[in-house]
Parts: sequence; structure tokens; C-alpha cells
Amino acid sequence: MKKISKKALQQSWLRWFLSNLSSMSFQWLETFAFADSMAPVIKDLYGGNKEEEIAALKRHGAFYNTEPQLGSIINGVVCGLEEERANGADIDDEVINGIKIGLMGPMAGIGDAMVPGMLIPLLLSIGISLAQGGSMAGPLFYIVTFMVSVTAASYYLFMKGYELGTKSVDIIVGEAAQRVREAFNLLGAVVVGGVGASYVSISTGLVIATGNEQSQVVVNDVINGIYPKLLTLAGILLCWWLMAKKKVSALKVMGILVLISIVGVAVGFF
Amino acid sequence: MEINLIQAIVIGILSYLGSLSCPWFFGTTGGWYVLSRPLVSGFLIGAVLGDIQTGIIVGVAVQVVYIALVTPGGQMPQDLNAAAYIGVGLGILTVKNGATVESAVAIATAVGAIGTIFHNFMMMSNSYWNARAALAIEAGDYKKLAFNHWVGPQITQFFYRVIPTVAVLYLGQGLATQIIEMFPVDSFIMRTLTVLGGMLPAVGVAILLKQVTKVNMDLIRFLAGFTLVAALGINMISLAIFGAFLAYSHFEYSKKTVEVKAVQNDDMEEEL
Repeated sequence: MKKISKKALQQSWLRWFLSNLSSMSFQWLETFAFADSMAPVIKDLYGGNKEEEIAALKRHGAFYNTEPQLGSIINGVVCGLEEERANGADIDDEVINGIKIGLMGPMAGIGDAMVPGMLIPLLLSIGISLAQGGSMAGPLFYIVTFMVSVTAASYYLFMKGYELGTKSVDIIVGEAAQRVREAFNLLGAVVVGGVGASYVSISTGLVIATGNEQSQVVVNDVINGIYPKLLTLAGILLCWWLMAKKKVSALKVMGILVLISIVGVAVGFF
Repeated sequence: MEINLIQAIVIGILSYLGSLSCPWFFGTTGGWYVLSRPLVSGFLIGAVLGDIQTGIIVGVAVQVVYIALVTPGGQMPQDLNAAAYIGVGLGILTVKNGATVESAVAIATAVGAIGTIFHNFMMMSNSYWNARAALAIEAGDYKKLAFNHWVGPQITQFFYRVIPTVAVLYLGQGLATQIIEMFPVDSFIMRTLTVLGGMLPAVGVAILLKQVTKVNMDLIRFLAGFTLVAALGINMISLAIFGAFLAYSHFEYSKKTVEVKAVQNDDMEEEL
């Protein structure tokens, strides 16, 4: 009965955690990071049998890309599969590759929604409010909370993936996972709404003169009287509509905003 | 205020440590997601230049623009690392020389747009190291694989990040200050850049919004969060707790409906 040593598992996680994007290119992204992180595990399971070692390395040289931080759970699952395979289970290259490819998409979705989509804007918002006036508490809060929580989550998920093996496939793509993802999307949408209202700022400087100094109409006040920050909301929804419905790239949307700013300032709207 | 060569080199090395592919400072987690956040880089550059307070004030202002920027699949509309080190560095310098924080934000966003060139160069030149790593896998050579994954790409990446940062901060500082002095706060360019600085975070917010909305009706969740902050002014932690309550209820409720349906089916069978 072959078993991957705790040390090899920890090394494999550390290699992945540190170098997941180290050799990224448009063509290969995280491929070689995955292969390299499997090296300690392969040596442990097939050490001495060079043919098996090469076959195992090649197995993990196939294209791979996911959200790297929480995606460590897939590395754990694959370590579990390799262990079963080394013990004679009927798991061929296609099965292992199929599981990697099947999980990397959903995990990228969950990971992106949770880390850059929710955790980072939330912790940064708190950090920014603590940093008012140039206080060090802001950056220090962000550095400590983000690094500790994500490093711990990455390690825990890796070990959990190894422990549960193929059972965790159901955890990632099963019915309950679907509901968790839905719930996180809901939370994400609410938080994103708050981030939008706090940090996007679009207002007009238009003033409609009525001939009387006292009774001139400040257009921005009128708009905010209808709904607070209506212009800001309209700006965000315009960007969303362009990207989600018209498939305009983010860079082009930024270009459009540059044009709007120039024209807006020129005609005196802003 | 001036940046001397040693300070510029230290900032350049910090910029490298925070770049997307650098493994040495807690990988992507500690580098890209911590060191390359302008909130953190402002603090660090401020410490190097001997004025932490100004550093953080400029860092916060630039951070606001990029608070929601995600980079799916290695595509980048803005290079956050260049904005965080070259941009914030120049920003701190010009603010110390009398410019406004808004103009510092404008500089950082302009640098961020130009900086995508460095990112795309890296993604292309890494193909060379990738080809060598692929050969190492064929041969089962762990050491060669490790070298071409860990070390090789970092040699090129080091130069992509350190040289532009040092060159711009050390050699370009006089020019940046002159340019800022040419455009006073109420000039057309500065007003446009300030307006743009307020609008740009909308792109990041919209990218996130696109990710979390599957059908158009999901926009109501976004509107709820927006309204709570815009109309009631609650802070982000309160909003997150409220959102977590809704998310948890959604999770529990969607489970219950499945069970209730099952129970109803049983009842119907008995009645039949």
C-alpha cells in the first residue's frame, strides 16, 4: 500500500501556492506550475521507476488554468487520484485529465467570485476607511487579513481535496455546490452594489440659470432628489450593458469613458 | 522632494516582488494581491521615501479606481503593478511638490494603461521558457523543469519590472513634475482626468457585476446593495452582513423547496 508522505503533500502545496502563475503565457497559463507541483508526489509514489515517473510528469503537462488560490483543492484531489492509481486502481491518464479539466472551469468561477469578486473589494473597503488621513492601520489591516485568510484557505482546501479524493468532485460541481455558488453570487451582487455606490462618482456641474441668483436650478441636486447617485448608477449600468450585452472589451469601455469625459468637460456637463 | 537612485532601486525591487508571476513573496497571494494593491504600495513607497502619510493618502486615492478590477484568464485592461509602483511613486512625488491628489490618480491611471505592454511582453516571452519546460517533462528531468518554471521566467520578469520602474522614477521625476506644473488643477486636461478618475471604477464594478448576474433580474440584488449605501449610507461591513443574511436565506430556502416537493409527492401517492 503506497501512501504519499505528509511532507511530500506539504511540498506539493507550497510549490503550487508560491509559483502558480510563475511561468504563465497566453498558451500555457498554469500548466507547468501544476506539473512542477506534482514532482514531490510523483517521486514519492513512483520513485525509482523512471518510466512511470516520466509518464506521470507527462500526464500533468496538459493545459491547465483555474483560480489559483482556492483552486488548490483540485491539486489535492489529483494527489489522491495519483495515490489510488499507484496502488493499482483502474485510473488512466484520461480519467485524471478529465477530472482536472472538468473541475478547473467551475473552480475558476467560484474562486473569482469569492476572492477578487468579494473578499478583496470588501477588505479593501475596510482598509480604505481605516486609512483615512494616511493612517497605517488601513494597509496593515488589509495585508494581515488577506494573507492569513487566503493562505490558510488554500492549504486547508488542498489537504481536504486530498482527503476526500473523488468525493470532492461532488462538492465542487454537485447540487449543494450549485446552491452555494448561487448564494455567493447573491452576496457578491449586493457587495458590488455597495462598492459601486461608494467608489464610483459621476456628477454633473450643470446649473440652469433662471435670471434670479436665488432660484437657479442645480441639476445634480434635482437628479439626486429623484434617486441618490442616479448618474453614478447609470454610468455603471452603461458599462455593464456594453460588456455583458454588446460584448465590448473592458479596454474599449475605458476608451469610451475617456471620450465621454472629454466631451462632457468640453460642453460643460461635468 | 526627490527620489535618489537607491530609493528608486528599492521601489523597483518591490514592484518586481509584487508582479503577477513572482513567486518569492507568498506567491500570487502575497505578491499580486497584496504588494500590487495601491493601498499597500502607497504605504511601502511612502516608507522608502520617508513620508508614509502622503504615501497612504495617494495610495488610497489610486486604490479606489482599481478596487473592483479582476483579471480573468490573464487579460488585463490595466496593469495594476505599473499603476501601483510607477504611478503611485510619481503621484507621491508630484503631490509632495504641490500637485493635487486627483492629478496623482490621473498619472497612475495613465501609467496603468501603458503598463499593459509589460504584461503582454511577459506573457509572450514566457513561451520561450515554456517550450524548454515541455522538453524537460518529455525527458522526466525535474531539475530542468523547475529551472524553466521557477527561475527562467523570473529573469526576464525581473528586468521587465525593475528597469522601467527605476528609469521612470529616477530619470523621469523632473519631467513628471514639469508636466504637472504645466497643467494647473482647473485646466481642461486636469478637469477631464479628474472626471475620468471618478468614472473608471465603474469598469471594474461592471466586470464584477457581469460575473455575478446570470439573468437580468439578478440586477435587483446589485440595486439593493447600491441603494442601501447610496440612500441609507450604511458601511461595507454592515452591507456584507446584510448580504450574507440574504445569501444564507437563499441557500436554505432553495434546499427546503426540494424537500417540500418530495413530501408533497409522497402525500399525493397516499391519496391516490
